[in-house]
Amino acid sequence: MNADDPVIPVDPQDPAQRRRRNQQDGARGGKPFKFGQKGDVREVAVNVPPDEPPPWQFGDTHAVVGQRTPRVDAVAKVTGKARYAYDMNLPGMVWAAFVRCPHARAKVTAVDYSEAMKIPGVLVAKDYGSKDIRYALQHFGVVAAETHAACLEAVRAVKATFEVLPHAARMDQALAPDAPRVHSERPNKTGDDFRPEAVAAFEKAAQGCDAVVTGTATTEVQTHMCLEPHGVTARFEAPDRATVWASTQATFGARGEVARVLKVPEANVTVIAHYMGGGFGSKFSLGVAGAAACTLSKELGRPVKLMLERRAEHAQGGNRPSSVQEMSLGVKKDGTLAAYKVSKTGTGGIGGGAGAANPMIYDFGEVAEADFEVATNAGAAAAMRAPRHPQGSFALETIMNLAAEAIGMDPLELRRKNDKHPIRARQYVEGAKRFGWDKRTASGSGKGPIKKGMGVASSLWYALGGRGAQVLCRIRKDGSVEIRNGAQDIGVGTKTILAMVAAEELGIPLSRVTPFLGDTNDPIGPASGGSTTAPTIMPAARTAAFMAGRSLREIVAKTWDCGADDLALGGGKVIHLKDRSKSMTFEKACALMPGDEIAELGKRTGNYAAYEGQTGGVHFAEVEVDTEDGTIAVTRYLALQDAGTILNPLTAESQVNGAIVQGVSYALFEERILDRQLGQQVNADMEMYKIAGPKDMPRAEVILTEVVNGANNVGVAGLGEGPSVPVAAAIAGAVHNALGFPVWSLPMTPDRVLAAIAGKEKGK
Amino acid sequence: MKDFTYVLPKDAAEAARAAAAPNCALKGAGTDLVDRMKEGVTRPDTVVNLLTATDLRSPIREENGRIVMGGAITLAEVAESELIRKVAPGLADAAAEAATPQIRNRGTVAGNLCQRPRCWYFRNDTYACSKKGGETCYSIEGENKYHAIFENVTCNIVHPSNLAPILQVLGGTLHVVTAKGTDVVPSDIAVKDFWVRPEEDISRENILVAGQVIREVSFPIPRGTTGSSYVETREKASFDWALTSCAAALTLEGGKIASASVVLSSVAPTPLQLEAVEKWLVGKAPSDALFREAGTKATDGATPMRDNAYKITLTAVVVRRALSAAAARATGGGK
Ligand SMILES: Cc1cc2nc3c(=O)[nH]c(=O)nc-3n(C[C@H](O)[C@H](O)[C@H](O)COP(=O)(O)OP(=O)(O)OC[C@H]3O[C@@H](n4cnc5c(N)ncnc54)[C@H](O)[C@@H]3O)c2cc1C
Repeated sequence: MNADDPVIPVDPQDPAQRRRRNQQDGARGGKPFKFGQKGDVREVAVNVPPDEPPPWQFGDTHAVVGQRTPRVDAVAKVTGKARYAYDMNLPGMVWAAFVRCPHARAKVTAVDYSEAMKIPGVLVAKDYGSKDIRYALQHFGVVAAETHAACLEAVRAVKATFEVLPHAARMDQALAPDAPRVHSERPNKTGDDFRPEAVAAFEKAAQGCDAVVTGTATTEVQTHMCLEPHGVTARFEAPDRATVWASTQATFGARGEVARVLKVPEANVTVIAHYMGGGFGSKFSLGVAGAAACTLSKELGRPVKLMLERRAEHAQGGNRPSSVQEMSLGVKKDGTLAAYKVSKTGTGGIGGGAGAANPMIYDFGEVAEADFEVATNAGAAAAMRAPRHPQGSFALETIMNLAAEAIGMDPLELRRKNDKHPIRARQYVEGAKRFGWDKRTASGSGKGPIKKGMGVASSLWYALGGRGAQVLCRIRKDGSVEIRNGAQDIGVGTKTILAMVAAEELGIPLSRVTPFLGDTNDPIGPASGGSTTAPTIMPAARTAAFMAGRSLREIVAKTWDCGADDLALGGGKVIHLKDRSKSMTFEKACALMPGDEIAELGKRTGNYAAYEGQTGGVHFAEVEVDTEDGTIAVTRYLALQDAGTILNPLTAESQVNGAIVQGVSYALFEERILDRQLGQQVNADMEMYKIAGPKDMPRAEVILTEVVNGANNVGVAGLGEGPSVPVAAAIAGAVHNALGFPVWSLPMTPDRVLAAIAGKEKGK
Repeated sequence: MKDFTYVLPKDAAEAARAAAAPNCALKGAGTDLVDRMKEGVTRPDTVVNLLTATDLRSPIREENGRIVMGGAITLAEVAESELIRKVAPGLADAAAEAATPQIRNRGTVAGNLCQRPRCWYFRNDTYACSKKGGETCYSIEGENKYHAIFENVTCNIVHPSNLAPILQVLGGTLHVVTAKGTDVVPSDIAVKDFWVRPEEDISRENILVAGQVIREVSFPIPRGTTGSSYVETREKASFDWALTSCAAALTLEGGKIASASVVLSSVAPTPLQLEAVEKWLVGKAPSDALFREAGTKATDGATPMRDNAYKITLTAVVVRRALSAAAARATGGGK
């Protein structure tokens, strides 16, 4: 990788800054291209880099791109042929597992491994990791054995004694006056309080408002619950090579880590992630499991598999931090938001990283913001699909609904008035019509025990990708095509769109292109974070295919005695643009090549000046609240979502559907429940950690807003995270509309809904 | 999971003999047992697989005024049986509401009645809770959102079985075989007498002892003017455990309730027969107002803990709904 190709940071703290860094510095002397959406097409100047094809423009038509295309690996996945890291069973392989502490805070004072070592098949039972336990199920030892069963029996047989110390596993415990310190060097609660000037400005602005509404929203910790837990199958090959099958969102990041752990050159390490059973932001590093497996493999000279067991996956796999967001919002009669004050507190466990994206999207006028983190003796947070955003969205959309009610304005109108994003502006109107927003009744006006309501919430994301990918395109003499990148397809269909882009550029059917992802022996690619995979890889793929096609055209041009630029690829043929009588099938053209293959490396260059720096979305939800038993059924859902050029509508809709599924689950069910006694998660399984199932799903519709964004030659933007932002908020808005008052805490389980109803009745 | 001897008996008698072995576990489909073995909560030396015992698979049928079925009949078979749907729709509903299609296709009736509690402290082997022989019930001070609101004194589990309350309401009987040396003797246990309260023996939930197998389950066919129902509340629509549940059977005569049987579940360590409510209902004309009041009465004496008072509201709701459904069926709006 060149020095000028920095790998994109995985969890963008400041997406705007990243965007600027990746952008072309002006486009003086560039050619104008048409980017934008229906009714708003802008000419943007772009300096097309030498090896790149001109960017796709608004109004361009495509043969392969834009077709609803099933995943190229769909059959392999549903027939079980797809091999995940967990599926790798290598000859001579050894199973490993960690030995864990059941207490949230303790010192491991003595460990006796002798009984464990007596179990037939056990090869290793020893200390591994710190003896200073700071969250429940932290590991302090490791076991390796010939079979999985022997391995787990050995873990049970380890006899450890602990000095159990007072802990603060839960946020309420950490905030108690006499709470033990989680980190000895600082108080449990840290962060930035309000700036007095900001508060003064807020107060002044609030005085000019017609209504000031207040409320405190709370959200619980959500765990990632990847079907495939964290872990790897590692094979060290003496003296200095290693192959690691990893469940990872960052093959290249993992390769670097393996090299460091094993002290071998990166060049000698191959990380493979052909398939990945879910990451959602939690699998950017090799992780404790991966590092231990690599070390043990080197030690034993045998392949080692170490995958976290389900309880440990909940504790060590990462999570979305909780939040408490106290808000005051001042609004004028005409819907102008003039003053906003928000204080946020949350816990990211032992590792930190709490916080909520609040404010965002709307122009709130004078803003005063405070932001606190509470350290707890609980597993560390990790990036999770749109980190910080769903929690922020739930809170701020709820206070927006309250503000709308206070001034007697339709909540959708209030949003339109305070949101100038050109894509959302259109989505508000289109969505309201499609969803039947005009049928929405006044808040709390329903009769009978089952009340219906509708809600709306908005989405944004920042992902236009950037430098950090190279793609290899090979055209073979037999006319078959390979398109290769070493990054991973985390399950979203990246492999499919990779092939589609190449097929489009080469003018051949999709079936002729074989895509390869997930092997670090192929060219560099990004970590799948911040929704950057498609916008980072696909422009490079198109460039690679363009360059390979150009080489092919050059070969044909020689035969026809013309220039390569006189020729074009399309419809499975090479055609002469000036002499229509001349055409040759793609295969025939390939047969002309002097060697066995054409191979070209396409490189992702910096972003062009885009039509819009942020993607937009507007989501609508309809619910039925049973006011007797406190259950909420999400009956209908509509998501309007922009992701630039939609390469494959089928998988793009899938991404949005997946966000809806996860969002319904977050809104209604998911909650890490920590036992205040030992500090363990009591619902750390797939039964009591409740995830929405098929019957909990709404009738969902996805409308992909057509925008050719132009930030790169394909115009694709990221779609992983944007649609995850507003789902819980839209559902909460619908619940508010149904009941006539908000339920301020997620998940909106029956106990919370009934408490909200009871609280309201008492208040009357 | 540790190694164990695996026994494949050909009938209930053979199973009972094998089950007399020390530290033995009976396995129906294993949907509960295997989970516990993986968690290390149950560590048997012998596992007897009842699915090979052919007499446990005796079909659902009518016999001498009773409905009889083998203990290893699946929940799906119960849910889909036209016979059961006709004479006791409440039982079909209870089976259909349980678990997931996959589990219903495998899980057995006897296994459902004998499944161990879902208490998250009981199912976590690192908590030495009193049910597992330890000193504390961790739910008293700990996380008790899903725990008992009645009879929560010693151990606050709730009874998890959907079939238990409805089979009790229907006056069901368990036909058991017991190994006595090499002999195997049959005996009958009324469902209502099957349960063991924590105060009697904290280590178990029913009266079965080693060497006993439920061979068949039966209940008398309710009279034509009787309606039965099973209603539960839960958090999720797709597979979830009941927060509260109620089974009811009402017999109507001349527009009045002639007899009532009402059993609550998911709220106490065992199914709870609501005798006071039953008595109070008899002789009254069914109405929404009556059932609403019955719902409120059903919550008398509840002793909620820190996080589960909401279950009181949900108890009243299931009682009212179950009685309304049973009454509608009794008056011919169904069955
Ligand atoms: C995800 C999930 C959700 C579920 N949801 C529900 C629900 O909502 N409602 C509900 O009621 N159930 C629910 N269940 C429980 C499920 O119905 C039971 O697991 C199942 O019915 C047990 O049947 P089995 O044959 O698999 O029992 P096993 O696991 O084989 O056995 C369970 C127990 O019964 C004993 N046993 C089995 N057969 C006999 C016999 N013939 N004689 C004596 N003892 C016997 C075993 O020794 C064991 O202790 C759920 C289970 C899961 C895994």
